[in-house]
Amino acid sequence: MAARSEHGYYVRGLASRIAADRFADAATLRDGLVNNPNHLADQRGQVVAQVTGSWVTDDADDISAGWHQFYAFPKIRVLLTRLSSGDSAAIVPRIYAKVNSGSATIRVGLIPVRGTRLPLATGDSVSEVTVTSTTGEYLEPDPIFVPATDIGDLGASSPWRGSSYPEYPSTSGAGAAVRMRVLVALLGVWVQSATTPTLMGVSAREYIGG
Amino acid sequence: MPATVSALDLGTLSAAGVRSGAPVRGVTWARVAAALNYLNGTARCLIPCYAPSVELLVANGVQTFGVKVWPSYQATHRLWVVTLGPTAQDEAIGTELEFTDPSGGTATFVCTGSIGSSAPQTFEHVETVTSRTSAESTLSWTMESVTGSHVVTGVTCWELPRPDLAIDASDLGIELGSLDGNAPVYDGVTGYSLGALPEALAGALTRGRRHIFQWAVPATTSKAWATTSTSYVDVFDYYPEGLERLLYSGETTADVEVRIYAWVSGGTGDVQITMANGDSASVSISAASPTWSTISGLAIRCEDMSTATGRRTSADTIRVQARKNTSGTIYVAGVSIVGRGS
Repeated sequence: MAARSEHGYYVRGLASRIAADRFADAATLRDGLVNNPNHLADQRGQVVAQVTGSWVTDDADDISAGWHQFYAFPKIRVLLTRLSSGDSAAIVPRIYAKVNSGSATIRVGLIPVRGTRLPLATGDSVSEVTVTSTTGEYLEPDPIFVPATDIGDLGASSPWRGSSYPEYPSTSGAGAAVRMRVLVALLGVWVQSATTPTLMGVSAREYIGG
Repeated sequence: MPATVSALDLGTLSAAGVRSGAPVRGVTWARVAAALNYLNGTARCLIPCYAPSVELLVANGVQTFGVKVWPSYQATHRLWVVTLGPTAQDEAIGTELEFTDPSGGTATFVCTGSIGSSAPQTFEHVETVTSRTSAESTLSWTMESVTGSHVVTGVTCWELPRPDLAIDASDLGIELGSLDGNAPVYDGVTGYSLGALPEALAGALTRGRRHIFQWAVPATTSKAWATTSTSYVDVFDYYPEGLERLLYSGETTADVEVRIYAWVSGGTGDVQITMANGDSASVSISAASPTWSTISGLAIRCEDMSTATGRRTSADTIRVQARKNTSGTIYVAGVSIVGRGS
């Protein structure tokens, strides 16, 4: 039987068996889309931040008692794409930092772009690590999730209201703005320390875990 | 009627659902088509947020930044986010900066106050893409301090998602209704029925090329990174994380593309990229003016799908170094590291 789609046949049964053989590498479709949809769906694992430099805290930029931001650290605004409206948004962070002495606690979190600057409470879309090296060490905070229940329908009761981004229409005409699939968040980095910490790098990728 | 880009729903897809030589349910094909529309129409990061940390003074005039990207043809708009700061601690940020996107669109960022104030210092600009392509391109944008001085503390760029795709050979949209149960099979009609799936899958694989690391500063002797050292010197103190996406079962590494924007003040220099897995490659820089150079076939680790973070080790890093041969200076103004297409 010819390995091609036949006009006049129907999608179920015969035609679908033919079409499966049309793919040069059926394993690619199976592995890429069925077994591991995340790695074909490029928004999973997509790199959202690769910040290198050197930043120290500024007492004038206190956020709340004991917590500081790193002075002139960029506002890392990320677009977190979700597979569906019931999906969480998440990133995997990595930082490089040092202290003059002692230790420092660095907290990384995702907050609504139009929300508060506060470093949130432990468990609220944040992850912490402790820096002790005086020369610089790489640290990998746990993945940070924004639960789907928090995002909700981005309605009035959602803390993420106003944190979506519109989709743009095709050149063929205007399309409906569907705002559920792209979440705009701010990747915040805060530090709590009595010594002088220096932040030298932050990387973040979208989470790929199923 | 354009093809709808709906939310991705993989609930009924299973490994057993697609096997060569075995029947595939019509509903499976319909879900695959919807997934491909989603993948070809979703948002995509071209420039992961990076910190130029470059000072812009009024006297500098227009300053050009540039990176190498593999854009999506489907993208009609891009989002730019720029964060600005003052040139001295606790000083006010310059009040006006002009931003021009790669398509020529302009925006004026009006700043007030100092860092820590409630004044806006982060700006968004949506670029309307005037020349759509999927080929390797130089994405160039300019910034000019019009009033006061600024430090560009952060830049990121995303391709924005589409609500629908044109049903043609460029957008690769698939008419989902053509895959309904009992729908007739179309023979050789772009964007319809089973025949549309291979092209859309190939497009989605290629479109998913991951932009792993981007860094750019104005290509001038005063603002580019520079060294006169004849031994390799790190361009960045922080080794960025580098993980390529996993496409095929069993692979652990994959080759990436590296582009370096550099020049020398006579003679030659070298730029070397070293990956944590041990692979390294270098390129000789001999141009006397800013020029893009290419390093292909550099292997980095792929994601490990069995771990939640995707990491294979705790040190999947990229090290960028440069040196000048004999005397003179080597300047580096751009580094782009981008994954494979398929």
